[in-house]
Amino acid sequence: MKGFDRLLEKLNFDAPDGRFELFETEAGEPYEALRERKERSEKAGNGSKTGKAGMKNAEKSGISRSVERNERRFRAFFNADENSDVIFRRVDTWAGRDALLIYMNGMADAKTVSDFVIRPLTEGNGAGRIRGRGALESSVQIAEQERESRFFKVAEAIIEGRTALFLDGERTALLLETRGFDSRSVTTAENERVVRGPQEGFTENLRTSVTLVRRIVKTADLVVCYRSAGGKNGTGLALLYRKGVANEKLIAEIEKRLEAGSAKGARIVSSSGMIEQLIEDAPFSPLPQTLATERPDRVASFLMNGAAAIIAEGSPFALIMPATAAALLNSPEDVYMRRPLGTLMRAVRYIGVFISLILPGYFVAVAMYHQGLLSTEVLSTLIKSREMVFEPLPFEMILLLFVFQLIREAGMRVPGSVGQAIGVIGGLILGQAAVSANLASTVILIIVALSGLGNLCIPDYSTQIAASYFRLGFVIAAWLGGLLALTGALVCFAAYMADLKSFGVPFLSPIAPKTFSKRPMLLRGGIGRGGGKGGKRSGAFDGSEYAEYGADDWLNTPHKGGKGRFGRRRA
Amino acid sequence: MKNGMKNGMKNGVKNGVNMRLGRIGAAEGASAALAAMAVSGIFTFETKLLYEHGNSTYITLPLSVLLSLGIFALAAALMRKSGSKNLGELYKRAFGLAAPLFAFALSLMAVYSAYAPLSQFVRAMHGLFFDGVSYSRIVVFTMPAVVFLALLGFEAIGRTARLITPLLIAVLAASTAASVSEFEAYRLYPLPGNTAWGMAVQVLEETCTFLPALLCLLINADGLNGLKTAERAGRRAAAAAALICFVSQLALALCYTYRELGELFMPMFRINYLNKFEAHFMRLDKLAHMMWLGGGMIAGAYYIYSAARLFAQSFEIRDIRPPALGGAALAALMIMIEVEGKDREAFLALKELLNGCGFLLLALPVLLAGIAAALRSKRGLTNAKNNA
Repeated sequence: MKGFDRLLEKLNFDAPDGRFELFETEAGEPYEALRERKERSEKAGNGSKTGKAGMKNAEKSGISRSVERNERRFRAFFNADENSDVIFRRVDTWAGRDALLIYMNGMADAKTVSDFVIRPLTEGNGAGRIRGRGALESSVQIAEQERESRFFKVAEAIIEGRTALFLDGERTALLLETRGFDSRSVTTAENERVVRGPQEGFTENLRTSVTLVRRIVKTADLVVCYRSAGGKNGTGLALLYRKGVANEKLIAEIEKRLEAGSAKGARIVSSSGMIEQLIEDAPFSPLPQTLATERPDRVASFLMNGAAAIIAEGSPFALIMPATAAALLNSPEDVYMRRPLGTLMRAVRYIGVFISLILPGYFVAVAMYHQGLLSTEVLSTLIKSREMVFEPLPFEMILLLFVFQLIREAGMRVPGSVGQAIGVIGGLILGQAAVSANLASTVILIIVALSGLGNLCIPDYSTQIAASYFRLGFVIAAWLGGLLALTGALVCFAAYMADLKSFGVPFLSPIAPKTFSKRPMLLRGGIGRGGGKGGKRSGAFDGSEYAEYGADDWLNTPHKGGKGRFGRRRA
Repeated sequence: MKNGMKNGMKNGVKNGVNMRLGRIGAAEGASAALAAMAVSGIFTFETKLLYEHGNSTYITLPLSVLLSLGIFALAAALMRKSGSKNLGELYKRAFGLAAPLFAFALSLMAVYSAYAPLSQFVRAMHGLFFDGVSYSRIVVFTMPAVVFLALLGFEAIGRTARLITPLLIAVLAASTAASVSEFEAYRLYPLPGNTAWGMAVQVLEETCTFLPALLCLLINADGLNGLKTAERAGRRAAAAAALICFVSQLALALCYTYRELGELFMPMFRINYLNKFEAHFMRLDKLAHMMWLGGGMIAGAYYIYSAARLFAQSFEIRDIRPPALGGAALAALMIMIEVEGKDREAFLALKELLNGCGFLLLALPVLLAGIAAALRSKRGLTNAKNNA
């Protein structure tokens, strides 16, 4: 009976779809909520570093004499309720006056702050009790100090890693040089190598990884929420996003999924790969719905565009969400090369991916069912190369694809240069031997090699594996029904991708659905071309990453749109 | 069932239904409708009948598209006036208890529209690619993709169409451009190719080729961000379809005389034979045909989903899957009857009848429903005013 109930449940007619989706806006006026949020943000003066109105208000008001007031204002400015990276430390000084220290965890060296700022302030410096204006300078044992009375300048200094010291009754803050963060003990990004651009990658240390991002995204609206990853082993994670730029519904959904992941009560969650499985939309999908990267610059550029990222303790990979097909297929290298070269590289990669997916299946279909499609010359070459091969052509193709995958796996698991040698020697020797032993024909070998190279063009590892699965599926379809079945399989593949969503964002955006993104996806966009329609984006990552992403219409970008609603459950 | 309801409540959706409608924009809606109109407008015709008295299709087909657009616009205007969110709702308001009957008829016409191009493709596959294979095996390989797409829902259909329709247009443009060297103006003779009456009849008859695709937009108007977007999508699709029909039919008319065209099966496919440049490496004509087959699958899924949606809505079925599977099975059955069935002749006679009167079957209920619904809502408004 239970089984029957389950079957009914599977086939139930009443269950709504229930998938979370962020609707893009289609036409008309800007979405009201966005406009309201922007106005509210401007009024409160807690905009981003680039949110000019908010910054101007804050800058005008300057530093208050009251420590409480300063704390309140800076807490609001840094979204301290959510952003646990900013440390507010109240100190009872030896002089009996209240003092407040504000610094950015990870950006400022905590030991320096503790030993040379907090201790002298509480215990005195032994130089006599100097009172008045010079008391602060003489107590604190930091050589480089600067007085500052402007709110904006103080906030900027905190973001950069300096410590701000406020003393009750003073209208100025003392900016202390306490910058100190990990640099270059971090490893290189092994799996996402670029020729130009930064070489450093995340480490297993959560604090270091967050700091690496903070060093690039020096904005006040960058929020870092620390929480448990959900396993019983107590691994922590950090959720990063830009407050006011990232879509609030998206952040709420991520937090909800993290909660739900925690509720599953996994015995151990020790890497971002496991977190990914707990929170993604379709766990059984071969295609990834988050972008795993080990590059801080990549995370930073996506954060600047309104995406969210999760960094897990003990994992050198960050998860960026939402992830679109465009984001998964584009490499950070595209951004660092000049525009024509970046575009060319991108085009070559797309062609490679297309070849990788289609070529083996297409060849099997044509060679088995539609020989008439080939010219006599091509056909005779094929027949000649296969005349001594004893197994059927599709089997030969699948076997060689499997061997290619085998060599690749072996090459990856074996460290360093030995792995590379296995890749090269294994490929050459096995290929040559297979042809000599009449196990494979040269034509098929070339096709498999081309397809494999195309597959390796895909920058994301999970997408590479998914592409391999789909390629195998196309070969089997072509084996069974020639071009007819291959066409059907391709249509199903396109439909599957069109149906897939990553945190509510359609996987194939901005092509299907077509969005208001004016920046091209295949052709790389210009750097600094945009600035964003809502004035939220700025800096060097604008055009390029915008072009890379293609999900901008779902993020917090006020634009021509109106009837869509952000963040609803589908009925 | 209990769990289903629980899920529905958990997500804050009362009376949740699994219609897989989603929400797409004008670009996706237009792409889906255009794919359906273009495939139907290029591949579904029985050439013997179409070119019997001469070739005037490059005039009549665009006019049929425009006439379909006119009916579509009228129906949309009436829907707006009656406050209906989709065509099913309009039927309910207009016909009351009899609404399911009319909805069923329109659903059948939509399934018929899915069958028509798919059957042509199956026949083409059999004749040109797999001549030693039975029709049933070809159907077995064609229909799963259609069913899969229909079950994924309207949103997936629209987005897939958005991906593939530009490729279809590119293939058509390439085929037409490649055959330019074969164009001869004398083949247009006799001008305009038909009598005025004959042309008028043809315009009316062929309207049933294009109108269902536009009506499907109205059936799914609530999945298109409302009626306004559906109208915009319909206008764009119709404009592009009229252009495509004009260009393709004119290219055919310049390449073949009407007598030759009457003997050709799927002449747009044959036009690819005319260019020889690809013969050195690979024949691209069959590849072009595969692209169109992909378009046919999307068109089939679009029609079947819409038929299922209307049917489910009218008969208060809370899941799209049973009617979609039923619609696909019916389309497959019709294909099999046409190509291999014992009652083939009777079926072809019925098909001819449907081709002749399809226009009336499609247009009249829509117009009647619109008028009735408008009158009812007007009466309702007057009553409300009086009561106030």
